[in-house]
Amino acid sequence: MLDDRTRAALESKILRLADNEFILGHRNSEWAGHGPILEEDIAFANLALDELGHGILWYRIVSMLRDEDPETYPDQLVYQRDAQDFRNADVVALPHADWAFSMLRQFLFDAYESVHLPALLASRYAPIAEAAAKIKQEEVFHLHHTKAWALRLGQGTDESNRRMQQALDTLWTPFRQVFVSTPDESLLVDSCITPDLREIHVEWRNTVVPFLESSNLVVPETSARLDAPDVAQSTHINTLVAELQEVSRIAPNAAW
Amino acid sequence: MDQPAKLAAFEARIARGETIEPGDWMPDEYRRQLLRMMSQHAHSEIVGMLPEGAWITRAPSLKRKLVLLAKVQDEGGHGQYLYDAAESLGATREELIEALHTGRAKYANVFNYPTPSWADVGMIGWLVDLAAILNQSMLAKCSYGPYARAMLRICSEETFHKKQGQEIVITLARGTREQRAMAQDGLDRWWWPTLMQFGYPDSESPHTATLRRWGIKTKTNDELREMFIKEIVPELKLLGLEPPDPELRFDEATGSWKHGPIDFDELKRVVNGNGPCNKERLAARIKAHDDGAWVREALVAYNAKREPSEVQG
Amino acid sequence: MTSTQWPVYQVFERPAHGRPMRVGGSVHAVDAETALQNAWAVYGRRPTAVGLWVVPRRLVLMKTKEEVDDFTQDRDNRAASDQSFYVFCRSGAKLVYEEAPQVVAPSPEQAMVRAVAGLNDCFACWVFPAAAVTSTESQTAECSFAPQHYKWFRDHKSFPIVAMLREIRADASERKHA
Repeated sequence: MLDDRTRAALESKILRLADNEFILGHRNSEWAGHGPILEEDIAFANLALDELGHGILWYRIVSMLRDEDPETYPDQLVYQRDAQDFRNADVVALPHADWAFSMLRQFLFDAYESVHLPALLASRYAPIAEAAAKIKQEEVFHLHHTKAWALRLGQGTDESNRRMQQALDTLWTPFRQVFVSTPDESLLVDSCITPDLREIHVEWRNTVVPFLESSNLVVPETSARLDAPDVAQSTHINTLVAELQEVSRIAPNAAW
Repeated sequence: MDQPAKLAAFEARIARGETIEPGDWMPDEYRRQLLRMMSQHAHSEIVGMLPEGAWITRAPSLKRKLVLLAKVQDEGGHGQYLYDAAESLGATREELIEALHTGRAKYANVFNYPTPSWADVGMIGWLVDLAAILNQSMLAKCSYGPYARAMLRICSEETFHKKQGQEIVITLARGTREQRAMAQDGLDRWWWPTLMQFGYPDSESPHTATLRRWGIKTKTNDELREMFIKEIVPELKLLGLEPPDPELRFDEATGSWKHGPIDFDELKRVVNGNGPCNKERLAARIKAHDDGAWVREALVAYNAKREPSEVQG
Repeated sequence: MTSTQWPVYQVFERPAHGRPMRVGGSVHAVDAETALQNAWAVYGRRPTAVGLWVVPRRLVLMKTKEEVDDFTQDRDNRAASDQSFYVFCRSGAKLVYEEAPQVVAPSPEQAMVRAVAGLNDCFACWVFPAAAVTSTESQTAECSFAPQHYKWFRDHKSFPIVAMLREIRADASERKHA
């Protein structure tokens, strides 16, 4: 049984996981119909659908923690929260710059999932382990896909390399926010509910840095401390959420 | 075999219910008509991703959001199947895309209309996709094998789209006053463009007889239009929605629906590039293609640098 | 406008476990790996396929039965070694090309002749070297081309139109009789 403080910590943590997936999926969905190659347009939409689905899985757990109906509460979380109450890392809300940007961001996220999910599978909190098991199956395929792309764009032409490098320079530092703890997360780590993100971060670096370098990219130096306080939301989330909720707010409690 | 004998043999094959496959002899006119139909159909699917795709980020519920994204993805997939089928007649995808971007190739004119409200997503799904299903069921029995096979896949996926659109409209029609007004407004704007999808009246369609003999067209434009009205009008009325046609009525004597005149001048204008969104939609497709050039070049360059694979046969 | 003429990869799909492969659509791609991934995205995103192959289309020899009957045998005397060829055949009035028994031959043309000779009721036939196949079924567990299960948003049960309309008719009829 969870005491109140642990429960609150768990809610914060899972809400963050959910918002990360959902907002990333939302950004990626913007490419539908505008992709560089028809087959890839279709494939990238699959990735977006999966991420949105993962977000919903995590929102359902938040619903249960709050004694809300998991069939309807996720919609409330997405369509009735204010922008400032979204808990995603800012990096997933950044508007996409070009195809290199979106593909690289997705790769970095898939690599993070590939080290994070195995740790979540070992969670003592059963709903987390179950959600992780469902998500992991799809993420294996995602990583295969985005790795292939990152390699090809990194090594392809001077222009594709330049664009990937620019994307990496833009994304590298903000991406660290994904590894920042939520309030009271140490309670969860101590209870073996979630892993220590510092270890996950190290594993992630050990995976992505050699791979990016083998794709002819230079990984930026960064001296920002990982344990900086939870970064404030940038204005991007405000614009994103305004658009996300534009139609639903016409009749906020109606069925759509 | 000489030409007339070849043609007779060809038509006999079709009469026997055989499919014509790539590499088989076919009249030039058959090839031309099919290539035109398949490529137009493909272009329609691709351009059709845009009017609804614009609403993915604003879809007002989780169900609507995922369903709409999956639908737009399906449309891309349909375009893909159809480009593939068109290529079996000797065109390349690059040529087909260039024809679209330079305005030589046509696509369904419905996609030249704007989608200013969420209700439009419902109307396109219900009205336009129902029209497409009626047209397409006919094509699933088309004599040209690759087209028939593509259409089988497309038809089964399209039935979802129509249901999804209909569910949106039903939900709006039973909702708040604003939602009901939104639905009626959507119907006002999509009714006539959808009826135009069935093409010119039979009296003005010269190719029908030949296309019927070649197993490309098994129902006439007017027949399909009638089937559409018969199915959809009672359901619209049940929801309290009225098609914007004061002359629309069911004629007991003939057992068919009568409707007001379709403005085919408008159809001509829109088809020829002067509709409200033609330029915008094509510009979006051209931009996606041009912006993607560096991506395609990078993939080619990467492949060229690698060692030859051992399975290049 | 830049244009790149890309290779086309023919796609083959297995509709369910234990069922034979059949000809599917095709994808444009520059290499076999991305062809396979894209084929999976386009043709594997519904549970209509549990496995896919991709083969460069230029390596697939496609002939109608009449063309094969008219074939002059390839009498090339290169010391070509035998390879395995997959055979796909369209029979009768069926629309699909299904997998038929493999043949061994020193060239695609010879493979075609042998394949057709061994088949009854064959309208048209495709052959290609087994070595040219890239398959989801031979991938290691590391990359999962796990067959899709129905996602709720691709399930007809998620859109209960008939029930909704029935309910509305019942309401309307109640109001009428009220």
